[in-house]
Amino acid sequence: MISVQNLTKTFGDRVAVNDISFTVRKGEVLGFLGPNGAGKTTTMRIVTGFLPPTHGRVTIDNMDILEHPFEVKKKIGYMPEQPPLYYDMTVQECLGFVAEIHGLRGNRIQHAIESVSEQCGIVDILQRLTGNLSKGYRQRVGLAQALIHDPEILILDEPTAGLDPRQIIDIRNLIKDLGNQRTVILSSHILPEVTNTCKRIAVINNGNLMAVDTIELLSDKLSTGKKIVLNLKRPEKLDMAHLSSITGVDDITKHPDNEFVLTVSGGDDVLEKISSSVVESGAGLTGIRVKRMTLEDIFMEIVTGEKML
Amino acid sequence: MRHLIPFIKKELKAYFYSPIAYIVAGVFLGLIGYFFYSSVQGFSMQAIQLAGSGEEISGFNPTNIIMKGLFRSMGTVFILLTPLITMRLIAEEKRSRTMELLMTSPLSITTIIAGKYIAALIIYVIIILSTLYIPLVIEFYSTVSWPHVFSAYSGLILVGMAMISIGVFCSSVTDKQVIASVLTIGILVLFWFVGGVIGGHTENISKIMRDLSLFSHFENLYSGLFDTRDIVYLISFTAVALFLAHRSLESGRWK
Repeated sequence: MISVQNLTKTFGDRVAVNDISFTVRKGEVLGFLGPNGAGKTTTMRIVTGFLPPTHGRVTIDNMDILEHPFEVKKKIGYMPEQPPLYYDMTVQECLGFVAEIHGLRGNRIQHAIESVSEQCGIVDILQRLTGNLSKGYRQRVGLAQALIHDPEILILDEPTAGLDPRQIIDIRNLIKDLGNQRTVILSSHILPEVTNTCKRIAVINNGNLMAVDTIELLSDKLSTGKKIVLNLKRPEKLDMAHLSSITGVDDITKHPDNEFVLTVSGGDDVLEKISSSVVESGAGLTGIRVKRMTLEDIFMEIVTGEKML
Repeated sequence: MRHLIPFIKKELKAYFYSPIAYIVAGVFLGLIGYFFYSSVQGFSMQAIQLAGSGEEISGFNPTNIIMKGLFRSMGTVFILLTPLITMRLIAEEKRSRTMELLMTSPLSITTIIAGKYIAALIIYVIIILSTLYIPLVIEFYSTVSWPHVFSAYSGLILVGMAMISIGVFCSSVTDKQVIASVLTIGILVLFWFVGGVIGGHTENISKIMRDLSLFSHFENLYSGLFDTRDIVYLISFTAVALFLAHRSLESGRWK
């Protein structure tokens, strides 16, 4: 459905997006995850046709965005990070205008306004000026604008930025609902947001695409390197040399409070060897546990360790 | 292009919501009203003096004496008022990020520029045509040369088209309204006075400068000389400025 091939965008000398490729299938919700300034917004702007790419191409239903801009733009509903509202218009007028420039006419405009305002929970504020709305309501009106022409594809740039916790839950539920019938790309720098709403995630950092996969596969791929935490009473007696000679032990680090963290690869037999080695050395083993990586750890690892998958 | 009408509607609404349209119309009609009053007074004084001398002077009629000066003033006043109409058009869309909405909608840049230009022109034409009360009042007390009035109003509309196109261009190069308006005034003042107050060293250069000037072409029209050369110049001037505005928006995307 959406296919991004070798996309590169430079602003002067600065490379905002560096050779990224991914596809989004019909009906899929893809989460775009990365720290601030990673290139999420730039990528989205290119996919929506707002910015042309420096290299590479974007096709939507096999139509190139630069060759068929109008056909492609009709299929996309885009909500930028800062909702684009005309502050001297009422919500009703804003939605009406957006409907009109998307080619809706007559009765269909009123129907579209009614259905999206119900979906986004803005029925009560239709007659208010958008300039006087709170951030949460502006965000909802922005979402309603993106939905007004019933697009097949929704692209949402940080849809929950600046909302209060209850509003965040509302918007997430709304996006989940929308994801049942549409293809959605949403971006966020907050991890739980993505794990809550998306089936697949793409992690982007410094303009590079670090990983694209389902959440389960991503954590599987990374958790081969699991961590074992040892608590010792007499750490000075620990036979470090022997411990690190065990095949499967990749790394040993000492933490405060006599805690040792071993990065290991391999199965339970490695764990068995480690525990017997520690017990034999007489270091006074008081605790041993296996730490599995959460998605938070994966994200941190990818982003800070620049680990490519 | 079929999205043009809703786009013009939205732009016109914006003029009346932010009271720019009312303020520009109020200031303009107030000034012109005052000029009208004082030139009628001047005309009556002269008429009394001439009646006493018993001479007959050709060209001494209300159209020439009262209205010609008023038409020139209308054009000159609009050098200062045009930026107020046009500065918001594109700069504000850029600043408030609504440009992102327009550019990701199935609207072409041509539609965006055309919609904004036509909306500003409609406001201008409404304001200019509301001064038609002046020839009507004169017609009531005296006689008016209507062909001359027609030529003058064509001139006003044509020169307004050119001025507004410059305003649209200046608004497209920046996201700050103040910069857009200062640029507009700068360019308009230059094109208004070049060849007149701003002369050249030699006769030939002065002539070229006069040919480039908006004012010299407008002068023929408001003096009652309906010449296609002037019309062609003013329309070409408009087309070039709007083309530049289109280029400026298009190239802004590629930076």
